[in-house]
Amino acid sequence: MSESTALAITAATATSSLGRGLAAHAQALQAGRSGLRPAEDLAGYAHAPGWLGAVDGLDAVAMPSAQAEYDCRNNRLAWLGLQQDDLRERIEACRSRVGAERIGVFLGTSTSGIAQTEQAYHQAAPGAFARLPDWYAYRYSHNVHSVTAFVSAALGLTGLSQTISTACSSSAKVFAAASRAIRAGWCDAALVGGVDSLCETTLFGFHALQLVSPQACRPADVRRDGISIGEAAGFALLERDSEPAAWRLLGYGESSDAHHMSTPDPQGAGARLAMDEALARAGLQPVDIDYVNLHGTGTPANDRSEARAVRGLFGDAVPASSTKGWTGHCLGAAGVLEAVIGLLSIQEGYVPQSLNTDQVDPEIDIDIPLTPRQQPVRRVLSNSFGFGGSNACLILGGAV
Amino acid sequence: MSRLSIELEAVGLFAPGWPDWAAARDCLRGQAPVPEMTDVERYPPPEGLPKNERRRSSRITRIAFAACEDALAASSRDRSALRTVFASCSGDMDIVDDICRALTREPVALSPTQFHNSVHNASAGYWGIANAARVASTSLSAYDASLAAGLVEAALQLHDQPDAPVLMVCFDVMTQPPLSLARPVPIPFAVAWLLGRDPACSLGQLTLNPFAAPGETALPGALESMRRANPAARALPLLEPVARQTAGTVTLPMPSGRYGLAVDFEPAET
Repeated sequence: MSESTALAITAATATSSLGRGLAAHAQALQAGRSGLRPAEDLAGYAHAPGWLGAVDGLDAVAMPSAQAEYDCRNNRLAWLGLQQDDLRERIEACRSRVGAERIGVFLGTSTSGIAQTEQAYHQAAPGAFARLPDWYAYRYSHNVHSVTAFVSAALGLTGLSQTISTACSSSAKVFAAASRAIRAGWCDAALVGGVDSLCETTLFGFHALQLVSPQACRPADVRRDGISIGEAAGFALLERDSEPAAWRLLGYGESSDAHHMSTPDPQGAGARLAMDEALARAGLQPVDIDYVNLHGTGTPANDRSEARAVRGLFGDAVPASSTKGWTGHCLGAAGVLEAVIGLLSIQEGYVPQSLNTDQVDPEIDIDIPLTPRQQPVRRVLSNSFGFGGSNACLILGGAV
Repeated sequence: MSRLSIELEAVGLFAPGWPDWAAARDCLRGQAPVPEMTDVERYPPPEGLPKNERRRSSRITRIAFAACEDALAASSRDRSALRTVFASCSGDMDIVDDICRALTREPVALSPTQFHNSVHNASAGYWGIANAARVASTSLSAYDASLAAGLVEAALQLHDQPDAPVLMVCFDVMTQPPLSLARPVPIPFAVAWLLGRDPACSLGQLTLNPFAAPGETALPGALESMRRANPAARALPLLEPVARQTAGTVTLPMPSGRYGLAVDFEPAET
């Protein structure tokens, strides 16, 4: 393992049900205002179970004309996300400095533009699926890599790129992959991020697994009963640590549960391995962490297992909360969204409470804040775990 | 640094007419005919999984396991310590078809097992379970450049941790109607590469340059049809010099299309 893994985070943004950009997220977090709404109140999703963290206004997003063929909900969300917080200007400045081929693009998604395939099948059903409609283009929508191909083309970036799809750890793992590419000298900078959007496959799939709460999710609560699904786009620009930046990526860790496809290891052993590796790469001890952003989906099994792992490392000495009560579980975009929330926590000097949590499960024996805490936050550890037992952990810090 | 060199410790393969690398090697050496472009005769159930998971395993997990098992058949590497890179353009297109059909029926009732198997990293997850591997694993896609993206990721992991070998597998199932009309993949194909940094364990060295001139190395005749029939079969031009144990340079398509991935193969001295 190389000695220093720190990189500068020279730009970051997020778009979710909380709004567009960093300020909207900071305001919603400070105000305790959730983005979750009952599915039955949402046009187009009234038939779906539970509450959703939907992004408004995607129907009105105009795709760039040169990449019009990529039009689908997921790529619209990506494009909307790229417009916030001067991100495109920052990327353009970086590009003019290092060159288009020296900025890698590493994005995560779980289901990409699968909603187009769902729609195509709905239209094909009366004809017994003999053919799909003419408008349907797999390559530019459902294709796992379409979001990365679209973003690369729209920004004119020509270097390394890949799409990581490891379910709900996808857009945390992109930070690790990009770090390796920069350290090896194959990139000078990297646009990392994740985009996942609402689709029937996940809405009804999680429901089939009996993992969707009938109300807004309540992470760590003794009566928690499942997730709320959300959608989001988040991005960060990683550059060498010598660049001036408000934030830094201090470390990352990756591991596998090797336990079950959709149930976490009850002991949290895989989660612990990822956190241990992230701390080791950052050269930090647990006492150096000021806030843990939990994966905290709100399912009984996840929250119990994760709490066990966090308890083993931190005891009850570090405040730990899930922010999925605000945003819902944004799946392949959750890693980067929650990393950005970690950056806001550092910037604002603020630990977000576990929203919607009324009474903490006595089995979750860690410090779960039920009210917001104003306090200096120098370093944040953020967990992301996915189906298939895929675990990732990021450690984020402020300016040097 | 523009180039990285890694050692190829072993190859595993599973494709129509090629149940293993030995069969493919004979063909790529010109000692056996190119197989017909058709489905495989049998999808072997994956080793190491509990009985239920083994029985219910999907075709994509079966082909990924078959190639990985073949690559590791003669290796003494500790499987639980092997990091993995699973590169696939499309993942489980059979399940996509099943789920999208089920979504058109009222009331909607998806299979919970099918849903959790629908994630792109399902095969990697099962590999970890079967081999008690708690080390890092990644699953990625880069459309028709998924092989190049997987090789690049494996090389970067080895640059980061030279002492920890990486098992990289590139695999896609054949698509069925109606999806095959929109995304034709006429054959299943899986190729696994056991990669490390120790020349003592090597069949030969791969040197990667991801900023080479764009393009992709083609093959003559029936092998070219096979190369184009599955994103993972883009490996064939690189497998040919490996089979022949001759030096060679091939270009693989990179995701952005602006550059190619040039791979030099230099056989180990025997």
